Amino acid sequence: MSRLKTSPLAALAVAGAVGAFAASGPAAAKTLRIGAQADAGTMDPHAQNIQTTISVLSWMYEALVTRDKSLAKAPQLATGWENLSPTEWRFTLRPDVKFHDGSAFGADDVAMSIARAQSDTSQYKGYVGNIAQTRIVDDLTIELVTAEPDPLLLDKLTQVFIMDKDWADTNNVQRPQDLKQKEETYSVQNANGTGPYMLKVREPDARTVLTRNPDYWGTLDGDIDEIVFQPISEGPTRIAALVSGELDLVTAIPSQNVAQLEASPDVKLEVTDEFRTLFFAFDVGSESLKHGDAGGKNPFSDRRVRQAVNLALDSEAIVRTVMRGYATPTGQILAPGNVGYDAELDALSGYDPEAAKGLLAEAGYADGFSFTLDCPNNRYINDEQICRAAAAMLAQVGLDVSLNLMPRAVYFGQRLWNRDSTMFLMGFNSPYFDGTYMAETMVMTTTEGSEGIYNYSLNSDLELDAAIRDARGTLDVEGRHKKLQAVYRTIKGDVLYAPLHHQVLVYAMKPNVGVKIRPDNWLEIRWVTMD
Amino acid sequence: MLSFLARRLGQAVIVMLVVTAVAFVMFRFLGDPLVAILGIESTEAQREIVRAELGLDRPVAIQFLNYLGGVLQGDFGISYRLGRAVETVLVERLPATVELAVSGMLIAIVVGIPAGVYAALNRGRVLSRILLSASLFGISMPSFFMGLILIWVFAVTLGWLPSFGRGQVVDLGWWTTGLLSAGGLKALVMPALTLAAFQIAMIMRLVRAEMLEVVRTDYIRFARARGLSHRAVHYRHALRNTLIPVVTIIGLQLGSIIAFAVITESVFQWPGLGLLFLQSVATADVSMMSAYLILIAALFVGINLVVDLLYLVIDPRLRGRSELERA
Amino acid sequence: MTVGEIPVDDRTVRRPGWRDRLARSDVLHDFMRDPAAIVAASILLLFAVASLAPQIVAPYDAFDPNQFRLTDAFLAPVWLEGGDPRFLLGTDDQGRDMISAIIFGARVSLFVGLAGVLLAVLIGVAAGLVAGFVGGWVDAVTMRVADIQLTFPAILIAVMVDGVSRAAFGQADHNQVAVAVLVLAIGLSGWVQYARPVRGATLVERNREYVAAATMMGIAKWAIMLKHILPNVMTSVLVIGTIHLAVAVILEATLSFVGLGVPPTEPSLGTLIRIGNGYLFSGEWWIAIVPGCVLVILVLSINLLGDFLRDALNPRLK
Repeated sequence: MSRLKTSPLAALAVAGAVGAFAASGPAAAKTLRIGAQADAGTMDPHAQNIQTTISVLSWMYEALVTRDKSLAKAPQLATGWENLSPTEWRFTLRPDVKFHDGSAFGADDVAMSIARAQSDTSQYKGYVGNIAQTRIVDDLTIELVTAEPDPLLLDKLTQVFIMDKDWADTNNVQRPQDLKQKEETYSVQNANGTGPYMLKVREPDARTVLTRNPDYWGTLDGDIDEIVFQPISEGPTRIAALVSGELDLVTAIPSQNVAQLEASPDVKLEVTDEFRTLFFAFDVGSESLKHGDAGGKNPFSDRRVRQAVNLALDSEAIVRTVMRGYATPTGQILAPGNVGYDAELDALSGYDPEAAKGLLAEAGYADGFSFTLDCPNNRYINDEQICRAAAAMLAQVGLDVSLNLMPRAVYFGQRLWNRDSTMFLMGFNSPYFDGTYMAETMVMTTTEGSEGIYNYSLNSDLELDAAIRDARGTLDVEGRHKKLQAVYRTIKGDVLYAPLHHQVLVYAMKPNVGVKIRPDNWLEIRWVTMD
Repeated sequence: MLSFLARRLGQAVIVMLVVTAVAFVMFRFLGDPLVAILGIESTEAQREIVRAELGLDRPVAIQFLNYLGGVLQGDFGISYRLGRAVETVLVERLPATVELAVSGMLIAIVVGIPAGVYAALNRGRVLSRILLSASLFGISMPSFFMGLILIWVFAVTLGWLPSFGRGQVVDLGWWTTGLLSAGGLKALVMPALTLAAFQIAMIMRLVRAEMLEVVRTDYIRFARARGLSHRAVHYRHALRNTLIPVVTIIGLQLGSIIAFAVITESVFQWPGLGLLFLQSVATADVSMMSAYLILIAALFVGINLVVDLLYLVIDPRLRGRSELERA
Repeated sequence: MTVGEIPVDDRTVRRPGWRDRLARSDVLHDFMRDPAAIVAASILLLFAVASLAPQIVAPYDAFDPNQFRLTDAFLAPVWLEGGDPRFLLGTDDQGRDMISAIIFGARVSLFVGLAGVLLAVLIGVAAGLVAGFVGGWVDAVTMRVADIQLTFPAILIAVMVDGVSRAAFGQADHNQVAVAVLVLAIGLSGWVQYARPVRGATLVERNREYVAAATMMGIAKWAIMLKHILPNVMTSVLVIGTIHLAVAVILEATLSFVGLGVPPTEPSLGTLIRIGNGYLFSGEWWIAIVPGCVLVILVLSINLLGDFLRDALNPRLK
């Protein structure tokens, strides 16, 4: 509810202007009010690697590389780049770009931002960790040297926002916010980027107000003057606010509300397949069940038991009922759109409780066994309902399941990180649309670096590891694609996971708002229009 | 009298210490602050570093002493979730909760006291029976369900009132208020009503019961016998004597209404302390949760101290009785 | 959420047993003349029967995953479009029959409420008796603790108990002990309202001749307390307990609604409303509203009965 504040004098002037150009009405300020599930955690661009935070920051900060509407890499603050050698990259920077405070953008800002993202307190080290050296050639040219050849460097750079060096120096924020400091840093509440919108009001958890950057170098599809971003954690409240006209755009619509919104004449929906797949994973590595009782054995190390779980889960029914059709049932863990995706693997194993019972009997568990199924209740769309449905389905083939629902902080913090879960729900997407990421971090044996950091299954298959390493080192996309396809075929063959569905993103908005959803749930503000 | 005061003060300090300890213990182990800080997809190495930085690897007793020291200096640490000083955020959120609680309380008083007086003085009449039934309904209705139904009817179905938030807020520099704009007032209606519903019923029943007690006491009977009019007896004598305990209880209820605002604020996404508390619980924001509990405890202890002092002022018999025991 | 304290009538000189008093207080006579109390008691009787034998009363076993199918989910009550005669009040998001879910849920709610109240009574009466009879520092300490606790609303204490238990049992395994913790939370947050009147009554009784006589005859203190003092406070405890039960049921529902209570695998009424809240706006209102109404009816009945008991057993309010 914000209108242009006008003094009487200004109002007179406006009236005069209207009189002069009577054809067009007075230009009212266009405000886009967005409601989301969670707030951006901070305004610091390198402190928190969380999708919502990145999304909101991208309205104020920009990176060297961005993505166009087809998700291809496109120039943003860099106008071009070339490989001098497999490890050396030269970037030509965009001239005449100004930060919100008016200072000019240049190579020193890029160098400082990369160094900032590499510092201890940054969560963006994964994106810039491979950069060994930055060389400022001139004010608008910079070279990055990676420790090893990195075919995904440009993809990673789309996540690294550029901050003004002078601003950082002046406000003493050369490092991202450090939580051990007993003071909040300037960059947590303030922002100074090159992006299309400038931070006006920042009230964490309540609202964040942005105004149009009048000197923005680029073009916007729309002409929105002001953005009000509000976190509203309860799905129903968020939707009620949209329906009653308090919001213009709402993200993360629970699937059960889609039909109702579709029927509402004042609401428009935008639906996109997300690059995220939900699946159950098992502890396949332990000797016996950590949470459960199967006579001292670990049934999940037996492929037949995992296959039985797969057959007992009616993923189509879950998609139809719990997800109300807003998901795509799948037989694999990699979503379409990723390098390495193979549509053939999407084929479902089929729902067959009798066959599942047969497999359990064959594996020596004719009377079932008891175990705990761990699930988050505030992480994925309808995660709690999915798990309740799955627990019932598993009970129906004779397994004694106790369902353990937890908030995500506990789920990850106490169960998964400690590798202390017997069967659990996962949802995975890759920040740069490449199957390497999931294979490397989740499937590989936990060793060093990023290998197996999310391998909560205690899975260890040295042959598979070798295949993944081979794929990772393959620089040409087509070759990597082929190799990854083989990797994911093996994963499916071993039934390492019980796949459920690829998630679907639904945004709801007023009819005058136009949004193009990115499948990684990044709300690209430059593509939003408002009539 | 001085020793009475000293004892009460000592008691208050002990309460605050206990609450601080409980708050610290419970939230030190609740959830994992590392998830909130590092995000879900972090590595063990990163977690080790942060754990050490936050002192989470030191003995619990040391952590508590450090914490207590900070609290005494008004330093509640940094919110893991928001990355801002806890006390700053609390101060920011306070106005929303205070405005909600005070409006809820006002509605409850304005409606509850007259209704209670009426029901006491007109026993058996139809309206007072209706009032009594309504009050019974009021204390039988969980506030979250009340809020749910209000939203369903007035926001979703009729579209009259906003379903969430404070609406338009005016910033006075040291205080943000929703009371100065139409949007803000509209947004206040449903949450305030939800919060007030239970209190209306409570106050009404309380006033009625007290009033009935007083009406039966001897001096009212004497007043009647003296030939004073019913009106004079009821309003000059009975009501006044009723109000003393009622005002006390209302004072105490103000604390509980702020605690109860947790539920109302979560139903209406009201950006106050209660919602902050629940959001902090969900994300295991240790520092924020502990601070909230300590703040609420301080509020209660403060109110109680004031009430005790008021007793002392009102009731002269209590002065000089150092071995006072309120049974 | 404090329950109004019922002053114990200490003016009666004779000390008849509480059964006698109950009989002589015309409770039955009053009851038959109070239609509201009759209705309330009948409803509560229904709840009691349904809770004692849910397998017989309920069409399905709501806690047995073999008895519901996801394909039956979101069916409307029969009188609405999309209803199914197998499920009179419709189904929830898992295909569970609403009637069965409510019967089983009310059972959990009542069980938690009753157990919590019982615990509070046990702690409160014991503390009150001991404090009143022993006196001295025991009394002082007990009553100070009571004073302190009385300054906090029950909901905050309950949340705190919940939090401490999460710390003790580990949040991840908390579901297994959730019900016990709720009972503990209700018990610990409500004992004071029993302790105070019981202590008051005990103080009065302690100085009476028959107690002195009994002491002189060498009867143990605890026996005196149990035999002579306890019966005298039972009517107050009964009245407070009834009203406290209503408060306890609401408390359970509230905690479950915010997700701190009974887990959704074996839902109480509060948990059912929490689940249904997510579907309030998608048209499946019955998942939240029907259990909500049942909850209100349950609490209302308890309160009505509590009011009746208070008026009937407390001659001063007549």
